[in-house]
Amino acid sequence: MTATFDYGKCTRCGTCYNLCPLDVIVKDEAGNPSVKYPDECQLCFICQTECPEKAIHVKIPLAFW
Amino acid sequence: MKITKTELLIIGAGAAGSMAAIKASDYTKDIIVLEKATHRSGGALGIGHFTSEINPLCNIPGGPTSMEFVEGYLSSSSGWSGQERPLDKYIIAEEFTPIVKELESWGLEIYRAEDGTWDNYWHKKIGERMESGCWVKGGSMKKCLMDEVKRRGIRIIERTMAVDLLTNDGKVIGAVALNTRNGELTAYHAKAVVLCTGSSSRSYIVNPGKKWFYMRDMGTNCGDGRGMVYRAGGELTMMELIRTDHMNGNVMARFWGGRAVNHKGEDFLAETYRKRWSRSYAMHEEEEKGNGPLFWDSRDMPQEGHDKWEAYTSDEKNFPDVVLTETYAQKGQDRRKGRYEFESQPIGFLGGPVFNYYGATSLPGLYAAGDEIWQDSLSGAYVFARRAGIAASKYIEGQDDWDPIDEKQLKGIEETILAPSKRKEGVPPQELEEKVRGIMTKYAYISKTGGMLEQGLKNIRRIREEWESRIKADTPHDLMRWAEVRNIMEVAEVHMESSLFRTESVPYGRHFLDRKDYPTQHPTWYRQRVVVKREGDEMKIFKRKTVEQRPPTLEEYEAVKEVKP
Repeated sequence: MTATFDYGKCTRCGTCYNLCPLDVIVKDEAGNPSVKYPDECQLCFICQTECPEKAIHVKIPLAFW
Repeated sequence: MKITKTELLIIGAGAAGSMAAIKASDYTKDIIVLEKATHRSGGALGIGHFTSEINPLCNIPGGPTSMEFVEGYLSSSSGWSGQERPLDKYIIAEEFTPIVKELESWGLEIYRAEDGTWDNYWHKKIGERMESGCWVKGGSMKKCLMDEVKRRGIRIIERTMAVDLLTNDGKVIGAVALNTRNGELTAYHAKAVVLCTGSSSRSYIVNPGKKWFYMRDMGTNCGDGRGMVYRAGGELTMMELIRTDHMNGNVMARFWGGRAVNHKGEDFLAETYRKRWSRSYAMHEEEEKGNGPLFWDSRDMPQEGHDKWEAYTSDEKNFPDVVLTETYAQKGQDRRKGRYEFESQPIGFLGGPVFNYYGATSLPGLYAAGDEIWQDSLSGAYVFARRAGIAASKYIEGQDDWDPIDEKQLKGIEETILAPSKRKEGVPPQELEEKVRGIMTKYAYISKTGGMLEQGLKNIRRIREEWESRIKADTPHDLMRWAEVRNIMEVAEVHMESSLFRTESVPYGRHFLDRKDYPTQHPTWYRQRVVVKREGDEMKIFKRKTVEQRPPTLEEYEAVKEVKP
């Protein structure tokens, strides 16, 4: 997994869903975001950088170490 | 299919697409820009390339003149390949500095020296090639374009990927586009189209064994424009010349005292920069000589360099240099204590659609700008996007009537794009992409031979024949990946055919061809470009001689200074 979400902090504003350039983030009916296509994440960090609540942490996967 | 009319259609809202739209809006207000991602996140600027410095800045105090810049270019390795047009470089040298001033007026934040002038660099610090640039806050780059686009009321349609061009008797009259969130197709009927879809970076699996979207260049760039131009019968050129680079953005810090070294600790890049100005080929050459692995070494960088690097990367406006810092932090890397290993990766090809000095391609009504036609960085993108935007607008002024859309063509595109969503069984497009890029990585990687290229072409054609009709898309997202892999496959074939056709190596420059079975440059190929186009179902491939490799005269620039349709 690349981006992980702190649902306690997340306000379901949709910023990450709206911004992801590779469109790998989806949201459920309640607006909770999650990464549906982890293999297609480019690790650009835009979701983490732009999240107004700092509720996203992008973790560098083992493959990139 | 819904049809939307717009006088000017721009495909791609990165640096080039945004600039083309802004400049075209001085002539027409009827503009639609399509963007596969979003305006904020699309294009190389979206993920933060070009965040640190912009160049070349010519004709400013202390900097080179346009002519000095072009002379330097021709005498460095990039000029030795004999394929580029020196007048393109002169145009960039003349026209980029005024564009930077304009960008600054729109909100680009440029670092300033104590005397208030741009914090200029390079020409004093690095030897023979006359070039200069300045440091910018990269995060403000896309933002200033977004603000200006908004101020001018230009319409951007996000999450919408152009999948094929619409043509009428060889003339481009729009494009069909896929909404990547709901899977709907719309035909955009236009009088002119400007293609700004970026390069074709998603052609290889870099770092085999690792995930395949992780690359140096923008992940959305998979040669969409090149694929569309090829299918529409337009000419592509220089597609055999590959560009490689490394993942780390650390080379910028070399100006503050860091070094790129081989495994012996030798600073191979400094020498190359002085004499040849080619990071791409220098790294490849060093690895070929058996001097890999290569490292970035800033352990002995002076304190002043570390301070500047620290200040630079911790400024949030410099996204994503902040991201690089985070990556190193998560890996526990400390540049004061250890070296970072880096490796060459293919990040695209020099070539793309054949274009003239105004960005016009070989197809009437179709213009192109940015990495679509050019892999020479942001300056070329802005300068030629300005030209293409103006040229396309002037072309529209001469088009009183709307050429009708061919219903049969529309139906054909619809059937091809939506077919995977109608299948009950099949494989996802991502698997096809992985296979095609695997073939490219095995048979057409940085070093090539005729035998491998021939086999690679056979394999890719067999795969296309057997598997294109078995792709299944469960979601609009998968349909987008299907539309993308079509372009990845076109680009793969064009790259392999072009590389096979060119029976020499072009062992220089930021873009090169390394044919192990033809290891040197051959005089009969000097100044010859490889041109590829589709005629019917056949790929035609031929040579075309390009211009003399000498600095242009002032008269030659004056003749193209005013943008023509």
